[in-house]
Amino acid sequence: MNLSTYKTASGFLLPSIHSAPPFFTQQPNTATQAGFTEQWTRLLLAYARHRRLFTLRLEDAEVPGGEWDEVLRNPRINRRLMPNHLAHVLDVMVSKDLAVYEPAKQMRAVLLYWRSPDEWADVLHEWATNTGQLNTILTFYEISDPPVPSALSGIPESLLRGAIAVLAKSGRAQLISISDGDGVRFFPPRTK
Amino acid sequence: MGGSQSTPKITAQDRAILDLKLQRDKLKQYQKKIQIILDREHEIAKQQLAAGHKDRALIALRRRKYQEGLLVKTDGQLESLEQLVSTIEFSLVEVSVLHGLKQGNAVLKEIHKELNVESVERLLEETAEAREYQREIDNMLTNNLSLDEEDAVQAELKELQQEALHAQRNEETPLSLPDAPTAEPVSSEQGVLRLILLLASLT
Amino acid sequence: MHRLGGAGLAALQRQQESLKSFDALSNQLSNAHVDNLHAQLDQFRNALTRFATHHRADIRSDPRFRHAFQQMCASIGVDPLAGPRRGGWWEEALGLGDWQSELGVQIVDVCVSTRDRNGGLIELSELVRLVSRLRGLEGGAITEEDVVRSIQALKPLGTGYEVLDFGDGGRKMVRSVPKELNEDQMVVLAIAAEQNGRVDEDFLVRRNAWTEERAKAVLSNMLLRDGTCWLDEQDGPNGMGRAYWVPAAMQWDD
Repeated sequence: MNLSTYKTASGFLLPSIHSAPPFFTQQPNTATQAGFTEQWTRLLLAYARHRRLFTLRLEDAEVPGGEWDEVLRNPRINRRLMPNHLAHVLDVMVSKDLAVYEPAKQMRAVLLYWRSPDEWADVLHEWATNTGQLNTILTFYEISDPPVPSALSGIPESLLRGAIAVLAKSGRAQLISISDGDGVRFFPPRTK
Repeated sequence: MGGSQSTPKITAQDRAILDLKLQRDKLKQYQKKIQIILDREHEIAKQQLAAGHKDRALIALRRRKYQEGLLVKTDGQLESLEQLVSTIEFSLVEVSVLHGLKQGNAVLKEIHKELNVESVERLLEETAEAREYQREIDNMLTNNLSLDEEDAVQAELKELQQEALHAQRNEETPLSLPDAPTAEPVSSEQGVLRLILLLASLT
Repeated sequence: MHRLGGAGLAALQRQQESLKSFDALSNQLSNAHVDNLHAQLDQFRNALTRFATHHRADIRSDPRFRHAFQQMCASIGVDPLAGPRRGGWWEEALGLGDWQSELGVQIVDVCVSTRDRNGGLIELSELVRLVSRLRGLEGGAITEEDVVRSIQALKPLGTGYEVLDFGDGGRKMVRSVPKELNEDQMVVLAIAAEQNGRVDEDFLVRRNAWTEERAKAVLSNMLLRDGTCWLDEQDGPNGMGRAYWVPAAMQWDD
């Protein structure tokens, strides 16, 4: 019986370590666990990127039927990642700036940085440029829920704000606030 | 477009456009919610029918019809809003182009003259007239093809209205529904009015 | 695995010594005979060197040829790895010292980089596979024999690399940490090798007639102290049992 990779229903290729039963147990040996945590981190970020998932909650490990089942569970070997184990992995990811606790001051849910805020900033500006929307005032809704699906579709507000803040520093975006809500205007990059 | 490296100042017009767009977004989200309810009620009607409860199926269908009516109304409002947004943005773009060509002020004055309090009412009147008015604005700035597009839109709109009328005629007395958001559409109209007044005050 | 009758020059010297002592004891062999033996061995050695130099390219690139050559050396008690120079005779006669050293370095590289994962125990075939990948296509094929020989050359360095043979014609593992494996651990490894990597306490107790404590102790050491096995807490029909997995004994597809 070989431990092999597996292609999920959504088209994601799980690595062979995912077929190993001990991978789903938090290891008492710290060196071993460090290796597992790194593999889980890579796996979770890659899956988030593949499915465009932004949030990961302990609940996703506690209750089946969510978006993360394909990765947090392996029915073929009857194993699942326990919530405590996931909490440990999330903690390490947050300490490495690969995720943030969102909302703040709790530890049950994280926002995943499968793109860093800087990367999101670039993607955002590129989209605004390519769709001919520079110098136009846009609402957050227009960006995260565009008529034509884009690289920004579904982006959570906090991530969007972070990206806008990055762009604002280099004068590539401007936040506009009124009582009913916020908007943003993008500008061409500054000439040198 | 200028040697200054700092970002342009945020003007009152900018805020006005943002407000307009936020209103439009709200309408869109409202429409999405209604659509979900429509679909659900369609399912409920089917289920009830399958279970042999014809009268309950009927109730579901009526509720659905009512929501559909709301949807159609908001469609019209959305159309107005979108038109307004594109017109204003277009006029702003035109303004900057005209500035560049040093043709500026005459046309600019003309545009702003039209956006007075009286003409606001025309926007809220029956849809066909509002279209006519908008078309005049368009013609002033360009002389082209949007006429056909406008005609097509008019025809579509008329069709929609006809369908709604038919539906209303065939409809029996609608039941009063506790959670029907009757307040919403009116406030959106008020929102549009408020905005146009705001714009009109800018000269 | 036995060494090839001892290092070449040392073997020769040892032969000389024992010959001398025979001589001293029995006075049967004359000095002339001893000298004759020397001369013959020297001749043979030279011939071997010429042969090796002539076929250097083949020895380097073809494992089968290399194997045959090794056998030839073994038959006269010559260990090409020994000798005054760093790469031993390989380097002197064949200029293959760098080849040998390179292989040694690659083996160490693979063992060190996988140590976190497997606690310093790696299956021989897995080691060969990973070293081959490291070498790429230009490296030429290497066999388990090449790797084993290279590991033995590392022994004088005192790094603790050792090949573990489970004798049944099946798995071989390479241990790369100085920690000696005790007998109990060897037993566990052998069982893991049989069962695709999985071991549990009950099985050890039943199969080896061990006490619970003994089984617990060896598994605990492997898990916590040495990091040579992994824990699975969702084993069994109720999903709450404990089992231990030895990565070196698991079959990975990639």
